[in-house]
Amino acid sequence: MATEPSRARAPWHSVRRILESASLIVALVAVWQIATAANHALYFPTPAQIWSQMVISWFTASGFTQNILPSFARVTLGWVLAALAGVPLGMAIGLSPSFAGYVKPIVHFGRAVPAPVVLPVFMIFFGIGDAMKIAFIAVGVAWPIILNAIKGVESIDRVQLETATVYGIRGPRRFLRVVLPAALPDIMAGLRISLALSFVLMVISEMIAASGGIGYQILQSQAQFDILNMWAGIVVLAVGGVVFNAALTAVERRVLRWHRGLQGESA
Amino acid sequence: MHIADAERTAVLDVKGLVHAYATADGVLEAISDLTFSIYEGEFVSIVGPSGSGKTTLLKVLAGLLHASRGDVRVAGRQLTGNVPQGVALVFQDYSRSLFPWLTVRANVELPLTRQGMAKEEIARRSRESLAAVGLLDFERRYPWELSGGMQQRVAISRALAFQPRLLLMDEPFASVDAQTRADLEDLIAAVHHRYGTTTLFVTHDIDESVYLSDRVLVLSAHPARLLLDRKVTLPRPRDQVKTRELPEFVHLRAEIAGLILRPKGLAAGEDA
Amino acid sequence: MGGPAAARTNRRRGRLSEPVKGLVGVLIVGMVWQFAAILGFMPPAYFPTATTVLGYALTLVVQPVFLSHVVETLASMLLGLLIAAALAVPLGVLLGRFRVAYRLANTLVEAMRPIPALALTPVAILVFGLTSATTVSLVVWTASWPILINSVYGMHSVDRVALETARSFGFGRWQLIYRVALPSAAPFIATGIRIAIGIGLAVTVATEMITGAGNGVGAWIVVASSGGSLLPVYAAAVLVGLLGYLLNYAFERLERRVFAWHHSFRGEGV
Repeated sequence: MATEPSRARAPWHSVRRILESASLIVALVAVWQIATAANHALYFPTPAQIWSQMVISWFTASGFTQNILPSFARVTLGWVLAALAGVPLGMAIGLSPSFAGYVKPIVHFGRAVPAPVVLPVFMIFFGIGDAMKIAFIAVGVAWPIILNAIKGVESIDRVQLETATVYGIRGPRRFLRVVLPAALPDIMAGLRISLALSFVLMVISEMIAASGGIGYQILQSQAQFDILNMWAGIVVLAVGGVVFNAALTAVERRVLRWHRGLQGESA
Repeated sequence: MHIADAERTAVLDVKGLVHAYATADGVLEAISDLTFSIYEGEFVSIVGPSGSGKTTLLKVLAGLLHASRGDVRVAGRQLTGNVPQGVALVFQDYSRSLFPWLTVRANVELPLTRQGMAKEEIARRSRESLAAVGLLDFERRYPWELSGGMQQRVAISRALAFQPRLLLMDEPFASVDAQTRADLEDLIAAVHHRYGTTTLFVTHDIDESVYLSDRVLVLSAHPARLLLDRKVTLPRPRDQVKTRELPEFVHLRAEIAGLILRPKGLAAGEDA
Repeated sequence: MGGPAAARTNRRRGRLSEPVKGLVGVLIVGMVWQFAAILGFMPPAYFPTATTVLGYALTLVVQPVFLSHVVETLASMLLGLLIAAALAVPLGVLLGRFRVAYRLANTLVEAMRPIPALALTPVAILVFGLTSATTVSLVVWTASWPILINSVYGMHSVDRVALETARSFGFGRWQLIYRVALPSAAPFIATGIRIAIGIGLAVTVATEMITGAGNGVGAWIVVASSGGSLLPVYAAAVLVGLLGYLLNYAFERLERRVFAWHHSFRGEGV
């Protein structure tokens, strides 16, 4: 569609986008501040109050090392493990159609089981420490990764595969230079979904295992009626989620430059 | 310059080719007992009605499909099950055959990176073939940044850089507008003149087949059989306007059209 | 993939059909499980055999108490889904149609979407107490995002040509939305709803587990596994998984039938 590269426009475009987003966030926070200040609701403190609470108890050295860091570390580890195992596995399944018939229903079923249901199993087998949470996240999040990797490989355009065949592009070269790039959009989508899911599983594992972390702190604060601290935890969690997601999206944008161009729209 | 057939090298030898496939209603033949040969440096067109198995034929020759019966030799080597070496195929659907994650130049060079060729040689070939289709300035663009005609030229350039013994083209200009088609026809004619690549060109456009070729093979409707194998002795280089006015062009065109455009009469007589 | 022609070819060549293959795969997994459990690495309370799990699951399926919990869970999920759809679909259609509104809202959406419903559980508990309203509200939160995003995406994917054709016939702005954009976007919206079903079920069960408010499958699991045996957990996992799988499958079939005319369902895809 475009006859000139849109790359030349890219730097200004993204600067403008960031400015737009930033000013919008400022406006929203202002509205939030006004609404909650006017209401004096017990359960809904103002952003200003939340911020000061965050500084007091979350951004301290101990707050950081005891809650923020471990939680985000667990999320990252669990997700990375799932990705390292799931992407190759999913691609292998997708590449052998006869084998895929046996395995796909199992993977679909695995995805259908809500991870929280089997949390007790992980707690019995792994205890309530870091190992349990990381394993729980990794296993729970692997299914969408595998499914998307399978889909990515299966939906490769037949014409592209035929072209590669005609020109004698076989074996590892075929995999690295044709199959992998073609499947990458779906794979990246699966990774993004799994990242969001990792946060969910992290929170629930911490809430139920009750042994530290952001999720635990949030629930604990609510039980102790420390509303301010509860909200502070929620905001920390939300910001963390946004940051992680933005990082992954940035990586995806870079890796799938050509794909976006194909669709003619900035994602 | 005429060389007796028997002394020329056959790049492609097809004998008694049959391609049949199974359907719910039994076995259907797409190609039925095809025999012809193509010689070094020839530009041969295959023309026939839609659905006459032309694409199937090319896919068999390219090694993407298996022949049910018959003998096919490419450059003297019989087709076994694998893809024959030295055969390039330009698809009709150019937008799907170029790899969108590679630049134009990377697309052209990808088939070459196999044979342990030196980087300089690969670069030289890709630049030369891109220049031959007039796209050297676009080597760093991505396919989606180019128009349809330009994308097809990249596909052609890729086939050229491959330096195939046999170049197969499957209705390559069917998806572009008439103006672009005329430009691409002249391009392929110029390229053939310069490099002498043996080319088998499939089309449903009768005019195009006569305009471009040294020989025209006419296929019947499905199941495909050879109806005509006619040499084209129009002078080269050919011109879009002048050549098409020549009496030989008009006669040959009419002869072929007569064979293709009356399928009912044909089917009645030929039905087995 | 498949289709009737391929299936016939496969049958002719003596290959197994897809559903049979799937069944074989599941059976093999079951046998491996059975074998591993019999070997006795872990106590049977923690690692019961596959047959034990299946047997227990079968008794549960006909047990009125368990079934009432399942109904409870489903009811919460469906209610939450309905509310979410009622909110998110119109919003998504509007945001998809009016680009300016979209750009403004996008930042907000991207900021709020990563907040897991579970993190908001304490807030919901504060507002609604330990009732099913908590569960429903969290389902509404979770389900709204995929529905909203897919609705916007669907609106953005409407064929320009179709819109311009309709406009040339004199259709007004709202008619265009109702008669052209909405039908085109409908399959995408349906996909969003299908995704929301899966996530909604998970959130419902998880919330029930956390609040332990006494109702729903999640609460049932917490109580049933407090005795030290994991058997109820495994059985519940199988049953809930099966439920989710069937819901997804049924919805997909429905989509295929209702939207058979849409290009994403016709032809062999790419």
